[in-house]
Amino acid sequence: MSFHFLRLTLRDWLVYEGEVSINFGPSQDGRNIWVVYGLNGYGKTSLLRAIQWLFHGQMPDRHIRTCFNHHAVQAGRNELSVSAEFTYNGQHYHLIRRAEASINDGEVVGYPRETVELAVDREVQQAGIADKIDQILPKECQQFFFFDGLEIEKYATDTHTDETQEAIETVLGIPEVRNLCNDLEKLSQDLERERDQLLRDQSAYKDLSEQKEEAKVELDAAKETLRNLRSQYSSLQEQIDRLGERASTLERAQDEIAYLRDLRRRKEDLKERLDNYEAELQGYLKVVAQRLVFPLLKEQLDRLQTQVNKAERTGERLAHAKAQTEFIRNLLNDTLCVCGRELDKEARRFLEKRLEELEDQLASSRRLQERVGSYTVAVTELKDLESRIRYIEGLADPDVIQRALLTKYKLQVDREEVEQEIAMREEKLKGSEDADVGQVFITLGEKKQNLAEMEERIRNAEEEVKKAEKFLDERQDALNEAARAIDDKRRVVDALQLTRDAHAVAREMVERLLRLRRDAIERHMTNVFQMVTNKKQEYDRIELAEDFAPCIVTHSGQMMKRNELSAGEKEVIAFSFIAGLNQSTQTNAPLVMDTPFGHLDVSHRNGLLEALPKLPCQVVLLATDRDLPEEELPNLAYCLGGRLDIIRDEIGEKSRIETTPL
Amino acid sequence: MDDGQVDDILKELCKEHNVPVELMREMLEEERNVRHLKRRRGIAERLRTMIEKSLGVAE
Repeated sequence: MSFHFLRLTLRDWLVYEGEVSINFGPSQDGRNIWVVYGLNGYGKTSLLRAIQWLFHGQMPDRHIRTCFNHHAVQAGRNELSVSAEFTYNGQHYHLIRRAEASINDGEVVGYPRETVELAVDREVQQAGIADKIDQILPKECQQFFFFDGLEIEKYATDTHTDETQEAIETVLGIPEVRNLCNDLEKLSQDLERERDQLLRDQSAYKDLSEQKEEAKVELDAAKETLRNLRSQYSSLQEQIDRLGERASTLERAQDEIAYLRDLRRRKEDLKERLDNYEAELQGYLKVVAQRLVFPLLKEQLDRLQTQVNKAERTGERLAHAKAQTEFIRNLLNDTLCVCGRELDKEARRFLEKRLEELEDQLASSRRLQERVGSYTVAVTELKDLESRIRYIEGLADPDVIQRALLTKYKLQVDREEVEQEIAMREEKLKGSEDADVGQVFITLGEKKQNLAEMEERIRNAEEEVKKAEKFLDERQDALNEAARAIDDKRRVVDALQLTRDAHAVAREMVERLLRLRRDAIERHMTNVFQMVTNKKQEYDRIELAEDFAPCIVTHSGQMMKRNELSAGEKEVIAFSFIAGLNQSTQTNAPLVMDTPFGHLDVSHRNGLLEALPKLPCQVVLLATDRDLPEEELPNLAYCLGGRLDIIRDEIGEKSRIETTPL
Repeated sequence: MDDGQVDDILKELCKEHNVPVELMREMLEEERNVRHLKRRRGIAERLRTMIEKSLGVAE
């Protein structure tokens, strides 16, 4: 037995004044029945109500305000309590429920304040006590475990109320599955809506994507514009720097340019002077040169004079030679010599030879004489030159030439120095000389104006870039958000499918569980019914309707109508139903039955007494001696856990409970 | 009828519908925990979280 009462204690509860306890003791194998005897009005139902109130603070037909013991209230005690110690699934539980009331003039007034305490294995629970109790015994199931035997006939009706049906399903563990089924159906609907939203989001994402790309292009363009402007600005700045430097340089260079121009004028002057000196020196040098060649000319003149003299003498010899030649030729034309002798051959050959020699001399002399003419001209020219040289010689004073040369050299040095300085200064003032300083300053001003304008444009471009970046960031954020939403919702599709599948599982599980539970209840209740009924030959089994309403089926297959059954039979059916229900669940709470045999005849009662020991739970029978005559008890001895008697103190108007040894 | 029988049914149905058994057990346990509460606030979110977690684990 997973649920077993160990002790029940009442304090100032209804007819029980002060503290009253029932000790059930630990569960014993095969002994699951406890009988509490009490006459009508002694307090059996008070016990049942105490147990009903203990777990969930509710009773079917009473309010807690009416449960305060009259004598206790009269005595000023304003608190009642019910507590139970029990074992459940191997753990020790101690549950105490108290009610504290306001008392006025010996009467309870207003609504009592209730408190509940629970200790599990001696550990006091601080929170969730109601939940823990409900897990042990669901509130709506309590009616199937703690009940009045005269009231259970309602379970033998044609149809169950919704509450009863819900309670039955709760006992059977159906609601959580049904709730899961319903929750999953709702979740499926939610997920379907999200999936539809996903489709819309995907479309929005595409739009955002396009917007982002456009924003990126715009940003790139803005950045490019800014880059260009900055580049232009930098270039302009450099130009301005250069222009500034140039302007400063030009300003500084004006004196040097003037000096350079002076130098150039000086150079021209020097050149002119040098040219003059050059010309003068050329004259001097020409004279000096002529003077230098004068001795050679003189020598040439002398030689020419000698040649002329020689030629003149040659003329004389030529005349002599001509005379000789004439003489000889005449001789040769005669046969006789001057001496009168005949010219022999020998003489003649001598004369011819002499004639040839003379003719050679004559030819040579003639050629010489021809040259003499030219010599004479040369001598004349030389003599003229000589006379001129003699004139110039007087002019070419060496001191004058030396001074002229020195002056020229000095001028040349000056000119070279000037030229060097000019070259140096020209290099230094390269480009400055021709520059228009004023124009440079005007250009500089214009450039600075441009720079200022460009700064403004750059600021504007930077603003544009910032705007474009912000817009892009916003698009990106929106895109990220949309992507996250889509990513989340992508899972929605999978989640939706799984939810639908899980819903199908839960739905079929409800159907299967109901079928199986129903079968189990039918089987168990039929077993109990067969033990209890006195019409075993007629009644075959009990079947449950859709709403769990039990119905007797005869061996011939006929469904018995409720109005055909006696009150006892209905009670038997109801008990069988409760017992079947009890055995078909994992709750296994004790059955606490008040006057369980109210409408039963002996036969049914005996059948029930036969069935009770077979139930897999603790059974507490609150009975009168009419329900369960004492002489019957020995028949239950084998399964009896204990016997208790409610004793009534009529003088004191209070009840107490005593354990009676078996 | 015992818990083993219920679990067998659960396994069979889960296999048939390709749903992780652990997920169904977890969801049923959650439903059991809140069954007695009048207001079952947040149950749908918790079930959804379990389902998404199950999908995440499956991935």
